Amino acid sequence: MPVKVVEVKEVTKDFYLGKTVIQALWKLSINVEDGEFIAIAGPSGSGKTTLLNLIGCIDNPTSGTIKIDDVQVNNLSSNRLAELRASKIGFIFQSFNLIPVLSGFENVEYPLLKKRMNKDERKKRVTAVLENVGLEKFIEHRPDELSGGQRQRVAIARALVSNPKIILADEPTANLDHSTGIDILNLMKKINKLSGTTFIFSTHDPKIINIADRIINLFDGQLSK
Amino acid sequence: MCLKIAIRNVFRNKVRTIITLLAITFGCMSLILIGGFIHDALTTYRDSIIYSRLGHIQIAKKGFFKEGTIKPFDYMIDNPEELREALDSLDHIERITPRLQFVGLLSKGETTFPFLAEGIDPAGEKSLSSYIEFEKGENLSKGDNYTIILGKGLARAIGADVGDDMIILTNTIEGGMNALDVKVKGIFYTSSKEYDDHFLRIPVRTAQYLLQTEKVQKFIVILDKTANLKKVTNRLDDFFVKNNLPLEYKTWFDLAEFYNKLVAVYERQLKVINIIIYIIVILSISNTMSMAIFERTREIGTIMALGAKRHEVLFLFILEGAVLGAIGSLLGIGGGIFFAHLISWIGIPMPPGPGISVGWIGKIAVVPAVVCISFFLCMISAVISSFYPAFKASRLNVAEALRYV
Ligand SMILES: Nc1ncnc2c1ncn2[C@@H]1O[C@H](COP(=O)(O)OP(=O)(O)OP(=O)(O)O)[C@@H](O)[C@H]1O
Ligand SMILES: [Mg+2]
Repeated sequence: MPVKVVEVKEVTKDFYLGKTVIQALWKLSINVEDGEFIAIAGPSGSGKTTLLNLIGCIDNPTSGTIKIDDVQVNNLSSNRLAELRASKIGFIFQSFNLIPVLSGFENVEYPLLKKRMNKDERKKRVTAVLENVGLEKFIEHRPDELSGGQRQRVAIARALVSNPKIILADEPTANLDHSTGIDILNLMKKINKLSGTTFIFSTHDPKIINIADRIINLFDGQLSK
Repeated sequence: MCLKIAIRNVFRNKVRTIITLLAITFGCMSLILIGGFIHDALTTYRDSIIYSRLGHIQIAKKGFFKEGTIKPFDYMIDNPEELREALDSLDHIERITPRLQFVGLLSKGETTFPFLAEGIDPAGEKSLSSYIEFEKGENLSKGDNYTIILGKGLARAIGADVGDDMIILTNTIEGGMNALDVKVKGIFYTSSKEYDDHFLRIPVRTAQYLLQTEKVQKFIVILDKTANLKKVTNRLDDFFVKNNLPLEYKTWFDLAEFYNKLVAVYERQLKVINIIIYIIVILSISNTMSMAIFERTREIGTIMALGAKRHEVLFLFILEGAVLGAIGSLLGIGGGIFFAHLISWIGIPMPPGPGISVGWIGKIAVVPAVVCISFFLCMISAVISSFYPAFKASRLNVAEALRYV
């Protein structure tokens, strides 16, 4: 019996720009099951980022409900949401968003600092995850000394390190050349198969979209088919 | 780890950090130097009044300090020699020397001029005369009789020179007239122009002979260290009570009205300068932190997406401000101590102050209390000034911060 990890129900998201209202999502409902590898596709402005932000608990819907791992998140305080993100959700960003003053290793270690874990345990865990993404070398380098593909591998390792249920990736390949993009996506897929982590990524590149198990097509804030 | 990240972030934008550090360092250094300079100026001035005129403690008969100026001979110490010997045995007292003041007329040939005279014991004046300088001639010495030394202004007014014979005319304490021939031995000046314009000094024996008395008005007490004042006054309280002596004392601090006013003025000035410096420090840090937070909006969004709570973001940026403040103030302490020594070694020639006839060489004292206070206040300014920018950072909307390019 498949387990629902994400339940989006009748979600609407409006943005207010002065007096104009921009409706980024309209009465959208989707479910994601544990272990899925899902792509969100759609043209620019269709609401992909908005949807991922809502699932990632870094933004609130205007109406509708969202459940993550059976917890309704609408009314949680900002501290509780931060805890939920730290324990259940990993993020991969289009422009990597590594912390520039930290080395690759330290970037991956960063999410673990708040967990009660001693230094050796932490080191073991970080090394294992970095190995997993194929980055044993260059981990002492700062992000600006790494290539785009290497940076995104560090970012994946960072998302993975605290063993989240869901990893959200907003256009993870948009800043990479085509073949590196495919490598990154295959890596995500491999992790998905090995560890069963749920992946939801957005893209508008039709060539990589077929790696996904399921595709959610968005158009003007609604599902399209 | 938090500290490591904060330190690395502080040095991320090197130019901006260096400019901010300069402001803090400069501010902290100025606080130390200005505070140290004023401390030294006040100490110099304090010592000049203690060692030139007031001494540390003055002892007189009860009532003298209140009525003595109107009735100078009504409150005299009855058996001065006995008292002096008794006081000599107390700890921390280095020297006890008598004073006998009177007014009179001084004449040379046709000119006559009023004066104030201080009868002193030449042997006991050694540590009191460190601020008496001689323009001409020399100081009174042990065994001198029928000789006087004149203040510069008084000597000029009457046209006296060293070696001149003069006549002193005064009332005895009983009210009769008395006159005496004296010789001018020296012409002096002190740090007080007023004193130099009116005073002459005369051996106390000669003064007693002139006034027809065995008594003196007060004893001036010099201690081994100014810091021991409290100990000695406590001892004196006991001593007077135990021996049932009709005596009272005043400390230099009670007597130095002008010094106390000067301290108040300096302290007010110091406060204004300090406030200006703190404002500079606060503005430069808050400006730097605001700029850093503006540039790092997306990074803040990222760490919050990764699970950092709002108060943790607040803490992170305040820590950065504190690191900036700590480095700046430590450099300021180093610089302050270095320049304090350097400037003291060179010396600052100071013009004479109000009512003071000679200039002096200013130095800068390294006062531990001033250094500590400067450091802590700079640190506190750093924390306060990073609070608002840090608060703004912690209130950012995560999704919007992440959209920020
Ligand atoms: N913070 C915001 N304020 C105002 N409007 C916003 C905000 N965020 C998104 N929007 C608007 O909402 C709509 C959906 O935006 P969203 O970023 O979700 O699209 P997207 O599918 O991710 O597009 P892209 O492929 O360009 O990244 C757009 O019209 C966008 O302008
Ligand atoms: Mg987008």
